[in-house]
Amino acid sequence: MTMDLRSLTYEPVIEKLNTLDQNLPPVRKRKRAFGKPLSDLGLLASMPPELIQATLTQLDLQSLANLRMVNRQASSTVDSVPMLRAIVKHAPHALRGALKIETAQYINCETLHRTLHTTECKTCGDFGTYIYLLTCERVCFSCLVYNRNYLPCDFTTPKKFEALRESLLDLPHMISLPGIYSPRKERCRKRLLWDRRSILRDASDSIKAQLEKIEGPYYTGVYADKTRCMAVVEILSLDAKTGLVIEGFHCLACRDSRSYGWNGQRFNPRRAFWSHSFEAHLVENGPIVEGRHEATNARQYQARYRMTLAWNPFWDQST
Amino acid sequence: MASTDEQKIILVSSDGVNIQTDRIIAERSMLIKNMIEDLGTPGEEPIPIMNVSEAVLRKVLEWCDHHKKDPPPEKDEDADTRKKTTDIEEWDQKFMQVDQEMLFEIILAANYMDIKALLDVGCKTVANMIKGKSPEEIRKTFNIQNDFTPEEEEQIRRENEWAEDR
Repeated sequence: MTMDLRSLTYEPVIEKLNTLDQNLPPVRKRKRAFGKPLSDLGLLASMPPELIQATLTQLDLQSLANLRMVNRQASSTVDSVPMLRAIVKHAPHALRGALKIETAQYINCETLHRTLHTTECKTCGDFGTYIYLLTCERVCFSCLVYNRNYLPCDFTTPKKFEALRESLLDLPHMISLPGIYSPRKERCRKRLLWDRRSILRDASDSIKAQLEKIEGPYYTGVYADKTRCMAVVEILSLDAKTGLVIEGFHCLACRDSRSYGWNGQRFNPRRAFWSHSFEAHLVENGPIVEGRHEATNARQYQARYRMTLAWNPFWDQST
Repeated sequence: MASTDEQKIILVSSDGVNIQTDRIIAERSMLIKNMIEDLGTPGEEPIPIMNVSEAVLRKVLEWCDHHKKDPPPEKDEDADTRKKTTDIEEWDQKFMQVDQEMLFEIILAANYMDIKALLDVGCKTVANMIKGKSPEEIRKTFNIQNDFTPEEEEQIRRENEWAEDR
């Protein structure tokens, strides 16, 4: 299967989204020489280490960061939590990003660790390569770009929303890191953004009306693209058994976004797969012969035939 | 085994006090359950609980009494609920409103007596005591001394800000 896969797929050479992890400054390596602990964990020290570990994995990332600052012993205890170590090793940007945009308080160490090991986009089930840090869920390229749920609500600009902002502070929100997020490469100021689904679920009707007023009915495009990537980091999945990174790849037959499958579906060249989801894709769209998805059974042939008939003849010549 | 419901057994705390309780209550503890099964003569011999003092043992049994009708947790379900939140049942929250020494004693007893659900509640309570607190507040809560030098403190603050190189 591995040989097969290589000839049917290709490595992505597409331009990356300007996600939060692109805007984080590079990790500076510093020598760390802390002295030996002079005091213990106080009353916490009466718990055996394994129970302390069990307790710490239930904490959110912000509390763990705070606990690290308590004293030397506490800092080395936090740093030895296995789940946190796995996160720091494989997905440092998820942790750095969450701390920076202040969503670390909503994310449990355990939740992030679990999300790292998932492969599927929480909305559509496709292979997801991004993590949305407001709710800590995995999301695929298509859902990130086209699904409004992953577009945070922006209440930054108008001064008159100050009272409104304060009333919303209980709902998951973030403070964006100034930087470049849009395809047009403009610099963005600091923004106060809210998770859209929490607003739609928990906020009062007047706030929802306000939101609609700000955004208008067709709220997409360049302006929206800026905020879209502010809460997102690109993190590949980890295999739960081996702990290795699962690299995504793209389908060779879907490379040309102008072509259609036998079922009339437009191919999406940005859709990423991994071995499991690619097999399902081949079953659904037909195996690849000479760089195209081939129809394999009568039903698929018929569908393709109908498609050909329905096509505009000029179009047909050009493809 | 219908008779086990009303069977009484006697537990002996570390300070030598005999406490009589229902077998069904005591069997929330896997340690006691296994001991009873090993002994094979429930109710006749008192069971020593070495590491737990009378006050703590009574408190633990109070919890077991309240939770004696809980269904035994299934393995998968248990793992799932633990992942979800640090939410604690209201009764358990009230039960855990004790001074810190007692809290840690209960956790240690639950660990020793192998009562998973109680241990879980205890750990969650401690987690909630840390949650959302600043370093200084955590120090105060648990009576922890700060032994960082100013440079170290500055460095760890920077590390946290960017989660840099650990």
